[in-house]
Amino acid sequence: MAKKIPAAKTRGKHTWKDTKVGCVLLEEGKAKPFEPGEKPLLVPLWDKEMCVRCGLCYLFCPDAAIKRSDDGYYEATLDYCKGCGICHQECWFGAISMMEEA
Amino acid sequence: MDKFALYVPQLLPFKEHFLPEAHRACMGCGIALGVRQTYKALEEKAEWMEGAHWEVPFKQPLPGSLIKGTKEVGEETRPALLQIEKDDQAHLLICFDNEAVTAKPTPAVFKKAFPAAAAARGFHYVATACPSYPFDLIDKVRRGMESEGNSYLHILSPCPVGWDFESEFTVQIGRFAVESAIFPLYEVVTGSPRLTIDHPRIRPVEQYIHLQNRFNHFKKKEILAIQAEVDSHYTKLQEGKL
Repeated sequence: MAKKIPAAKTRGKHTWKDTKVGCVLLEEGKAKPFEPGEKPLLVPLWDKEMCVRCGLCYLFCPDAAIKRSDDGYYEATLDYCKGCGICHQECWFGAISMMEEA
Repeated sequence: MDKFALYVPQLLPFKEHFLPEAHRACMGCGIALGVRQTYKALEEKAEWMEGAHWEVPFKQPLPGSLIKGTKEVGEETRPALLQIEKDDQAHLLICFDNEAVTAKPTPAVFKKAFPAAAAARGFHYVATACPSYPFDLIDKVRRGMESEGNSYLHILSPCPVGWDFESEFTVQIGRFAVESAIFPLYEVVTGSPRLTIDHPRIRPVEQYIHLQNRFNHFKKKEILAIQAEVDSHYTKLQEGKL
């Protein structure tokens, strides 16, 4: 069942009249209190036989979600991964496949 | 496999100054990728920015020396700017250009005007970069920090939402933009530009345009006009003129 979305007035005193022109944010660090937690639809999985540990996936990740583990291979922290698929596209060796999370 | 253990990305500092919990960009965002690579280039200088957690806000109004340049381009073009203060109180301005603010999508005119306007208005170091070429971008940020006086960096950052393509092609589209010479990578040090990446075989512009759905309304005649403009701009750059 769909959640009932409250009307704008009941949310608080902040209405559309209070937003700045162009929805510009004037305060800093507004994203800080938000917790990650929603998992992406597709997550990258590494095939360790094909991976040569070059680190291109790590370099091209816009969310800084890919971390280097102790054995030199790379892993994604799924809290921050958004499932964009850039690592899958940029891997020269085809070692990364986008899979549904088990 | 051990002889492949050392690759160039591993020469970069592994410490992450760009923290993922503090940004709300869409998936596959080119600006987030560009900012992350910029933070990697700044290293020790990024220490005070690290505490900021991406809290360095994008400055919307442009500085005085660039305002005249924007009027030539048009009032409505106001891209995101990141302003970093150097040791000698000069500034490094980094413009993340996702081409979203233009009234009409005209790919060639906009990019020609901005770095040229900055170079004409007394910026000591002006360069263009793209996150698809990370080492080139990192080099340019470092050179911009080292040079005396104000410096300006124009970074093309593809936007999957605005340009209408699948989010996994962000890096590839940036590479196509450079290879088709629609966004040539160059730096201006003493008045004359120098191409940092000069491909021996230039792609036709058509390949870059057909990758994105925002240019679906372009007809063949318009594409040919853009191709001619891009070609003349690129040969000028190769000769060392802006």
